Amino acid sequence: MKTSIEPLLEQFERLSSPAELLCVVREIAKSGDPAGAGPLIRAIGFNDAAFHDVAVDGLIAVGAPAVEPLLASLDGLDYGARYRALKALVAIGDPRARPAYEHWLKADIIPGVRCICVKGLSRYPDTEPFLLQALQDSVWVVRYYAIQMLVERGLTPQTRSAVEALRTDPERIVRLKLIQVLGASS
Amino acid sequence: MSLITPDTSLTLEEAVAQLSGPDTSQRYYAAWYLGYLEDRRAVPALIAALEDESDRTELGGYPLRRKAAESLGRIADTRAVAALVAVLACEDYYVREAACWALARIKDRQATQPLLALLREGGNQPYEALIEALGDLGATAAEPLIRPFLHNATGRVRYAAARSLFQLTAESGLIAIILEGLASDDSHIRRGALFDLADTGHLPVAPHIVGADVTTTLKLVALKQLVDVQEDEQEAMAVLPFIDSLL
Repeated sequence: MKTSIEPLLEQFERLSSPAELLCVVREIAKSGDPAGAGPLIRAIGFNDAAFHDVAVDGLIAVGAPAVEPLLASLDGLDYGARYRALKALVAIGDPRARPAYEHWLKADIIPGVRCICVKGLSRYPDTEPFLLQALQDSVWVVRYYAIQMLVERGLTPQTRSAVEALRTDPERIVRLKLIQVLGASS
Repeated sequence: MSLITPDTSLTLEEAVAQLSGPDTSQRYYAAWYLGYLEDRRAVPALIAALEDESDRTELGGYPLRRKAAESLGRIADTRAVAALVAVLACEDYYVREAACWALARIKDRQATQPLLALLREGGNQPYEALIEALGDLGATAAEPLIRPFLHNATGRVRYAAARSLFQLTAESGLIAIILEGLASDDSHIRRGALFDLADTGHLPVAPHIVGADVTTTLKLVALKQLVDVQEDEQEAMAVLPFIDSLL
């Protein structure tokens, strides 16, 4: 049973009570209608966490038609919303988003955003240089996640030696990650 | 604990020079930046900044001393202990608070008696930081002095007391007190309780951290803290699946 999107879009513009607005966003998200992409992208930027997962799930449901509007929005979003937009793009899995992962892996000051870019890039066979770069990130969580992604896609001799080099990482948590995925040092 | 990488290009030498330069705000920034660098070579200059008289607020506070104490804690070099103990007597409450925090990070037992003395002194003290420092230092003598704070009117002090008493006694009932804080409507209280839970090192708190109503970034930092306080390698490893579930 598909909801007609027009009245929902109209309500999205008109309503101001967060509770009512959340109901509308839920309906728009459920519809999977490409016309809902704009409002859902606005909702991932709302200063209210209740909207975030709903809107991300809605954008994933829209799928390919949401890719271009999401890509166009990245620059203007705050980092939290950018993280959520990239998360939706990674889940949609459209190759048009790849340049954005490459860009924000370098450009974003927020480790969470860099992590999600690592995840997006790990899907493509020729992105090894980016993942090797992420192993050198200044923040532990990006290194930790890059290890995970490299191992999940299958190590090559080159990536294995780059990952093994983190046996001496200054952060205990990164060293433990290596033990978790590769066993104790050989 | 911040995960944000600042954009800065000062060298250590430039920052040390800036710490005794003419501009108050540049001195303050240098004190922060030297803590961020965590370079032991900055310790003597930061110790000198603990005696600064030139940077005063209208109320008589010492902003540069506060930041210098905090940065000495980040660098965690035992050479700073005596100077930090000395500023426990500073009239600025926030200098005393930063000194307690720094002494907890340095974890030098020589700080235990002066911290106990400050707790006995009573009055207007930075109880949260003071009680946490005594827990971190494993000061078993502090236990009877901390216990009354479980009934303190301020939530953050109650949770800090529960956290430190857990460190000293491992009484599992104390965890429930901190979980009350994690369920608070106030995001600052939730955040404090999150790290109090992590500091206990008690592995069963991991799912509570994952399920807390705070940002994923904070959960990751708290889980990393839970890893870092483990003494046993296998127990530290047991936290990793909880981290993986958030990524």
